[in-house]
Order: sequence, then structure tokens, then C-alpha cells
Amino acid sequence: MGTMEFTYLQSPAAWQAALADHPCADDIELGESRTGSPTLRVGGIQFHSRYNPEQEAQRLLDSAKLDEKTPVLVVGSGLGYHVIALREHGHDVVVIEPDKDILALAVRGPLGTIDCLLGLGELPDAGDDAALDNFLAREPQLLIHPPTAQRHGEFVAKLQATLSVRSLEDKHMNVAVVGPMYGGSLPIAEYLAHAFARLGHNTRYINHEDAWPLYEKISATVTGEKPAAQLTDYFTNFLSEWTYAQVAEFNPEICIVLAQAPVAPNFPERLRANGTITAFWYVENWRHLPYWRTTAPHYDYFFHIQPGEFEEKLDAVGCQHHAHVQTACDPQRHGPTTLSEEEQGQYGCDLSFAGAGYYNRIEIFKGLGDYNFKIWGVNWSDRYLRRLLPEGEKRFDAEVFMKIVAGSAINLNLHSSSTHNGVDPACDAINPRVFEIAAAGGFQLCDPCVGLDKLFDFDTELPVYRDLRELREKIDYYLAHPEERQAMATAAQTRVLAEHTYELRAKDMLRHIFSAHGAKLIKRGIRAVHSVTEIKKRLEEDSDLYQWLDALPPETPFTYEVMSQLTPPLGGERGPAEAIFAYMCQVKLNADAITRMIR
Amino acid sequence: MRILILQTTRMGDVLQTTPMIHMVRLKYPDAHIALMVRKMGKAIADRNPDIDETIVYDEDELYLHLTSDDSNRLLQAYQLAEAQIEELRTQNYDIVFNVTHSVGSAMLAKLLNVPEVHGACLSSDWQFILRGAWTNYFFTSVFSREYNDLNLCDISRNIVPEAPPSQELRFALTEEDRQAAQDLLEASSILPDDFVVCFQMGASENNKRWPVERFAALARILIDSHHAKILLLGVNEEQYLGDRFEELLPDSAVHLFGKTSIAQVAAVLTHARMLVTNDTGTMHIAASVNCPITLVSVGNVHYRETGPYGAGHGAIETRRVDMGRSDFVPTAKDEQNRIEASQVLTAMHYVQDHGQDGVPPLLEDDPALADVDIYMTRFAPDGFLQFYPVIRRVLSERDFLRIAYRTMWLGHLSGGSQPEQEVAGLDQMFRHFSGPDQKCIEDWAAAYGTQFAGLAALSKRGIVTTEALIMNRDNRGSIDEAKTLVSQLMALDEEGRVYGEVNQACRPLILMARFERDNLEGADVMVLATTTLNIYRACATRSELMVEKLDLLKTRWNARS
Repeated sequence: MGTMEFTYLQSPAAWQAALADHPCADDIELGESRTGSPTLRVGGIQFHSRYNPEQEAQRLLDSAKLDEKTPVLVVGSGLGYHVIALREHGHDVVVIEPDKDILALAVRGPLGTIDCLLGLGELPDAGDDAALDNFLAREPQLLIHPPTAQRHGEFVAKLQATLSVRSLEDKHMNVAVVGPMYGGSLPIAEYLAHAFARLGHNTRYINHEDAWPLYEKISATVTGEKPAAQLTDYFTNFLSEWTYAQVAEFNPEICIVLAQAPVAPNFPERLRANGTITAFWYVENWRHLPYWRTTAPHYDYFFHIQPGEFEEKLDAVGCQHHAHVQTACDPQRHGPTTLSEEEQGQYGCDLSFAGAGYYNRIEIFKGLGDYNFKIWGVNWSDRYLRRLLPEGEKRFDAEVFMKIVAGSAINLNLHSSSTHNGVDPACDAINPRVFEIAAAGGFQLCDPCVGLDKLFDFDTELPVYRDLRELREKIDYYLAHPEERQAMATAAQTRVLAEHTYELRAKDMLRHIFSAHGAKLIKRGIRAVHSVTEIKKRLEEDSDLYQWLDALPPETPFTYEVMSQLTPPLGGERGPAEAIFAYMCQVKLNADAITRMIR
Repeated sequence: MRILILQTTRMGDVLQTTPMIHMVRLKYPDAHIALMVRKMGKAIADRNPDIDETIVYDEDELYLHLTSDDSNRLLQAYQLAEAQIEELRTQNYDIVFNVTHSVGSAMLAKLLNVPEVHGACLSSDWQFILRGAWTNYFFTSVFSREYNDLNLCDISRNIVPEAPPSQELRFALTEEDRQAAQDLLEASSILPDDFVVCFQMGASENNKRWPVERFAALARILIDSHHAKILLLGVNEEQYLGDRFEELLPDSAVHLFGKTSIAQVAAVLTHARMLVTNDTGTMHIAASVNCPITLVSVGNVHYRETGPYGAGHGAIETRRVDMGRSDFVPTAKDEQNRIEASQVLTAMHYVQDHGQDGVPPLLEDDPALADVDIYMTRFAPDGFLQFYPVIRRVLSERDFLRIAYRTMWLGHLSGGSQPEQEVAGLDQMFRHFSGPDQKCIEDWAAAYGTQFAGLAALSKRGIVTTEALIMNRDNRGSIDEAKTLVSQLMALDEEGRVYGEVNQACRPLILMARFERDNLEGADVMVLATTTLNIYRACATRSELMVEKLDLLKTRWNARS
């Protein structure tokens, strides 16, 4: 027996048959308008005019300002007057109705003979209904029947979110990522920008790394606290303006700002005026740094790394859209590396730790001095531990970190605390080091940060310790069992590559943003970036444009920037499509010049 | 015969093209003539009796697609452009006159596969070329404005080869336009005998705007002395100028910003005694309906080139040492505020008093006019528009060269000198200058004569070398020798370029030769060599003609004395 095919969308006639015996609920009042047409009142809400429902439907269409060439997805059938008006204007229409009673009345009444497709209830998943999938692929415009939205607000909001995600998830966006000058969020900004780019989004990374030396120099050369603060403020404001200018010129659909990025509080408002959706990724421990209070409410989306209590705090400060998005690894930066003999001497050890010397780390690591232990990083103030730093106080980059991991039998990880003597049992800010060591194929012993057990299996992937004693026990055990170490490292690596990459985080962020702000993005219009291969699929094979694109590398982006580079304005022979492109480029150059002159 | 005229620049340019369009009509009375304009030019095109069809070139949608950074919209842009081009192709035009002069318009002309293109176009190997001597002159004049004495209307009308002349802007008013204007004036309590003066205070660029404060001061004088009714013309976007005017002179003018169509503005202007204006499209509309104009020429304006076309209009300008230099853009402080309302009033009176006919008389020199120049238009004996100075000043070295160039170009580009016209033109013009002495003129003629003779000699070396190259190719001579000759020609080009830098007066001729060389089409060595030979010959001829004209100027100046 074969699988029965699910059909969500059906014709009014099919629904008429299906709902022929469907009774009406008590709160539905069907009446007659002054024009003689039926009108409807449901649960105290007037669904259609008591005077002239047809005229009311026309007004709804007029105010919606729909594009004539684009199909329309109607949410809420009512009795169908607006659907009839849409069909009379030649629109291709699909209607989604949340209420079976109303759909039954509609198909028995005015909507019964109209050429359209109707669906009842929540949308099926993509792939479940071919007709719906095909319709949505045509990127229909949305028309919401206001009384339906009033009665079924939650349904309509969820449907809008689902439609937005479905409509946008395969689109290539223009994404700006704004990084800080310095600190832990600096590499994360870069990894995130690379991730967006690898996902095919047109990405602009606003990198402030070069500004840090000057910032430091300002602080170092002016000793007075007040003037130094004033100058660094000026400098930060300048960077903010510069950042705004760059992002505004790029005009992305989405701009993601990383923690500590030098942007002013009004940065998101200014971008919002251009229709850009702004997001902030707070890769900080909210308990340590409080600036989230003044930042979070200003952004369209606020991402953070600590679920639970923090989310209540965010609600309390008026942050409407926030989500937990953990840090991750970048497989292109974080992977196994083979050490040369010299490097083996430099990095080889039983135990290593790479990171800053926070108080709790110093306290616990002082108890590991009898091991072959190497420490890398800065702020290791303890005299005893400093002898374990092979290169003294020195920052390291991702490449060196991978060598450190490769050289260590055991990589220690301990989430920072300035108040605990060892493991902070309440810590819930999982650090990126967890994912980076795992991606590099390193074996690590980590403190059981809250939430870590949801990401890794402590028995097979990531063993944890709660105090120095347990740590030493596990060090001894795993140093004696290299095969187990290897097996666990491999399992952890498999896990992070499958579940904890920045590409997955970027997708998560977009899903959240689409769900909350998809309608705004759709209204603004997405600047889709397709390859020439994707564009070719829409063209006749014998068309001039197809022939030209066919001669280009398949992944060539079909964007003005790229295509204009391929069409020199003058000189040489060119095919018909190239000639038209050259002409278009000239049109743009001329118009650019006129626009500049007008400004 | 189907003819397409491409004029997709500004509204004023469309009007300035109307004499040329009329010449096309006179030459091809039975042709279907289509004029492609931007939206802003449609109102002008629709009132042109010489055209059968207006095609609106609207790049807005295409531009929005192109600037969207969106692959889907880029595809839409392509499809839109492809469809537009295809639609134009189906019109099967026989001739295109491209007076837009841009690379884009040249590409469009190329894409339409029209057999005959005049003006800017593309060669078969997609090089930008300028077909026709007058098109080349247009580009030469743009890059050496200080030596250009010809109005754009005269230049563009001559792009049509062998056609009867036309000396008027064409804009046909309808009865409805006139009635609408009448109604508008009545509604503003303006009576038929009122002294109506229109102001157009806008301009395409800020630096081209005489300050509103000055316009208001002029209005005050006109109201006090003539009980004038002041009408402020402009589009909605210029309302802010009216607001400022209102602050300065409340309840003294009728504000028509955005209240009139182009045709209604034209009809209103038929009721005006005068339009006082910056360099604007409204100025050309006024010229087309014979409304006297006083152009307040400030900023980067070259009134000789773009000023009102027709006899009987005035222009006032701050006295400039570097007048007309193409890269000279005065700052607001430098120039915009210098011309006083009382000085413009003097110019207005002059224009009012001396109409379109007869030789413009000279104004008595007046210390109050010491820092301005006032000009009056007439068609000169050569048939081209001339701006005659109405206050006698000392002829400058630059004036001397510009007048010599005018005489040379008109003789050369029109296929031969008209000695009587030349003499009459020079004699008429020289009456408007008070000096310098004959010795000075002789010195200039000698010094510049030497420069142009040098250029002629250089060109002749080019002729000899090119002839040798042609002979070499004719006789299938040695390739090495041919290569040597080509190298010599390239060295000669560079020598010519340097010569132009050292002897700035010669630059227009060198520029012209350069444009002509850039226009070489095809890959046939003999054709290229022959064309190159003609370019050297033309340059030599022009240089020798310049020597000749300088001598003629000297003679006529002497005769004047």
C-alpha cells in the first residue's frame, strides 16, 4: 500500500465537498449587508462590513498597494470578498484560513466558485505539499485580512514568522559584521564574518584591529586620567562614525555587532532608518560586564551565550528579541596540525593551558606545578606559575593555539572567575576554547560549566573536573591511557564539527532574525546574490545571456560589481549579452554622476 | 526614412537642440523623426512641431535595479535593457543623430544597428568615436572653453550636414497654454499692461546662483521705479528660494513654484517684459517665446556657449581675467555676491531699450559698472550668435585669440571662408573695444602667428612621414622601414602634445587633431594611414589659417583705428 499524498492546498470545490457537513460554531453570526451580500460576525468581531462588503474589500486592496505581477498569499478568507477582488484584478491567489468554520462558510458562499487554492490551519513543513511549495517559491506578497488577524493573532504572527523563514532561508543576504579593536570577541567577529561568507552571503567585515595600537598609544601618551579618557572617547566616537559610514554605504540587510565593538548607542537606530536589521552578539559574561543593560534594548536582536537568568534580565530591560547563541569553532582555523621537530620541542608537554591568568586559574594551576605543564598567554602574575610560561607573557593567535593543542597530551580548560579559588560552579558562560580545542582534535579536561553537558557527553567526549583533586586524578588517569584520550578527542571533534561551527551559529542567528523581522526584510527587499549557474536555470539555453554566463566559472556571483568587471566599456569584440551589460554599466555611471551632482 | 535623435541630457539642452531638429526636418521633410529625451525633456519635445514621436528615455527603473546589489534585480535590469533595445531595433531607424555625446548614448546607437550615425558613436571594435567635424569641434570647445565663441545651438545645428540653416528655438504654444497663463495672471491680479518681470532664481548648481538677496533687492527697485509685478518661476524643489525671497520682501511677488507646466511657463513668459535668470532651462524657454532675457552669469557658466539663443538678450558677468576657462569654478565668495542689483537693472534697461534689431549701441562707461561686463546678443554677419560687449573695454589677449579662432573655425568647418562676412564681422565686433594700441595687436599677431606657424611645420612633418608610410605600403616596402615610420609618427604625436602644453594658444587645434586620431576606425593599415594623413593636413591647414586670421585681425584693427 503506497503512502497517501498530503494535499494542504485544495480548490474551493474540494473544500466544499470536504466540509459539506461541517457545523458552524455558536459564536458565528451570518447576516445580510445593505447590498444584500452576506456578512459575518465572529466572536464579537465584525468580519465584513454590514453596509458594503465588496467596497470594503476593494479598500483593503487599495491600501495594501500590491504589486500586480506578484502572486498574493492571503491570510484569512473571511467570506472571500477580498479574494474575489484580487482575482478580478488578475492576481494569482492562495488563501490560508485558520478557522475551519469560516472556511466552510466561505466555500459554501461567495468563495465557492472562485479560481484559487485554499489551505486550512498551520502551514505544513517544506516538502509536504508541492503546490504550496511551488507557490511560496514565487515569493508571494502577503495580504492579511484584518479581522482574522484580530481573532487569530497568534496564528497569524506564527504564520508570518514561518513564511518569513521559509522565504528567506535560501536567500543570500548582505551581512555586515562589526568587530572590536581588541579582546576575546575580536577573533569571534572574524570567524563569524567568514562563516557568513562561506554560507554564500555577501559579507563585509568591519575590522577595527588596526585601531588598537593607536588607542593604546593615546592612553599611554596622555597621563592625565580625564584628558586621556576624553581623547579615547573622541577616538571611539570617530571609529563609530567611520563604522557607520562603511556599513551605511554597504547598506546590508543585516548588521551584527560584536561585543566591545566601537559603536555609539545610536548606531542601530541610524541603520534601522535605512531598513537594516541590527543584532548584537554579547559574547561576554553578563555578570562580569554590565553594559548589556544599555545596549540590548536598542538592537533588533540580541544574541548572548548564557541562557537562563540572563534572559529574564533582558526581558526586564525591554529587550524584545533575544536568543542564546553559543560560540563555536571555525574548522578552517581550528583543526589538527602537525608539529615540526623544533615545534615539538617548543610546544610538546603533558599539560598545557592557553589563556589569560585569571584569579581562579592561578589558584588552581599552582597545584599542578609537578607536571610537565606549559602555560601560554598574559596576566600570569604569580611568580611560581610564571616559570611555566615558555615564552613569558605573550599573546598568541589561532595558529599558535593550534600548535599548543597539538603539542599537549592534555589541554586544560577552566572558565574564568575573579572571585573563586578554583572552579566557579555557577559559571554558565561557556568559552570558545572548549570548541576550538575539540575542533583541533585535542583532548581537554574542563570544568563543568553550566550548560556544557547539553553540548558534550562528559563520559565519552569531554571529561570534567570540579576541583583540584579531581583534576589531578583525571590528569593522571588520562596520561596513563592515551588510547582513551585519543578516542575522546576524536569523539569531541566529531561533535563540534557537526554541531558547533560558526557556520551553524550564523544560520541560527539568521533563523532567529528571519522569524522576528522577516516581514521587514521582505518588505525592504532582499538583495539576493546568486551565482551565474543559478541565474542560468531561469534562462532559455539559446538566449544570449545564457550563452555568455555559460562561458563563465559556475560560481561567479551574478552581481553588478562582478559582471561590470567582466565587461570593459570600450574596445574589443563582444557578444550581444556583454554589449548590453556594457551599456547598462554606462547607464549606471552616467546616473551615478547625475546623482552626485544633484547631491 | 526613419530618423532617431538622441538628446537625453537636460531640459535646456533639448531646447538648444531644436534648431538642429528643425534642420533635420528641413532636410528630410517626409521622414519620420523620433526624439529620445529624458522625462524632464518630454514637455519640450511634445511641443516641437518638427518631430513625429517622442520616446522617453527613463533609466530610473534600470538604475534602481542596477544599484540594488541584487542578482534577481540585475537579471531584471538586463531583461529590461534587452527589451528596450529590442523595441527600438524594431523601429528600423535609418539615421541616428546623437547629440547626447556620452559613451552610453553612443553604445545605445551602436546596439540599435542603425546604418548611419552622426555624432558620438562606437566603431565596429567598440571604440568611442566622434563622427563629423562639428561633433569633434564640440568636444574641442568643451576642453578649451576660453577660445570658444560659438553657442551650443549653433554647434549642434551644424552636426546635420548640408541642411538649410535654422536660427530659432522651437516651442509651439497652444491656445490652452495661453489661456492657462492668462487665467493664472488674472488670478494673481496682473493686468495686461502691467510691467511684468519674471525671476528664475534656481540653477543646476549652487555656484551658478545669483543670491536671492540680490534678486530681492532688484525686485524692490523694479517695484519702486516701475511698479513692476514680479513673478517667481521654478519647480517645487525651488520653493525654498521663494521662501527666502518672501522673508526679504514680503507680499511683493507672485510665487509660481510648481504651479505651472513647462508650456504654461512659456505662455506666462510671453506676457513678461523680461526674464531675469541664472543659467537655467527657463532661460531657454523664454528665448523660445522671444521673451527678452537678462542672464546673470555667475559661477561656472559659459554664457557664450549656453547663453540664450536669439537676438536681443543680455548677459551680465563679473569682469574675469580667466573668463571661460573650463576648469575655473569660482567660489561663492569670489563671485556670486559681486554683481549688484543696480548693475543688473542697467543691463535690463539696455536689453529693454535696444531690442533685437540693429547694431547694439555702446553704453557710456560708468564707474558703477567698472567691475562688470554686459553683453547683448545679435546674429553676427557670419550667421552665428554673437555676444557683443556693450561697455567698451580694452580687448584682451584672450579676446583676440577667441575672435581669431571663431573666424578660423567658421571658415574651416563650413567648407570655406567668406571674406566679406569675416571682415564685416570683425569690424562690427572691434567697434565694441576701446584698445589696445595697434602696436600691441601687431605684437600679438606676430607672437601667436609664430606659434601657429610652428604647429603647421610640425603637422607638415607628419604629412611627409605619413606619405612615406603610405608609399612604403603601396610598394610593399620593407616592414622595418614601415615600423620606423610608425615610430616616428608616434614620436611626432608626443611632440605635438608637448607643443600644445608649451604654446597654450595652439591647444584647441592639437585637441581637435587628437580627437580625430582617436576616431580612427578599422584595422586596414592603408585606410588608417590615409586618414592620419588627412588629420595632419587638416591640422596644418587650420594652423596656417590661424596665421592668416591673426593677420586679418591685425589689418581690421588697423582699419578701425
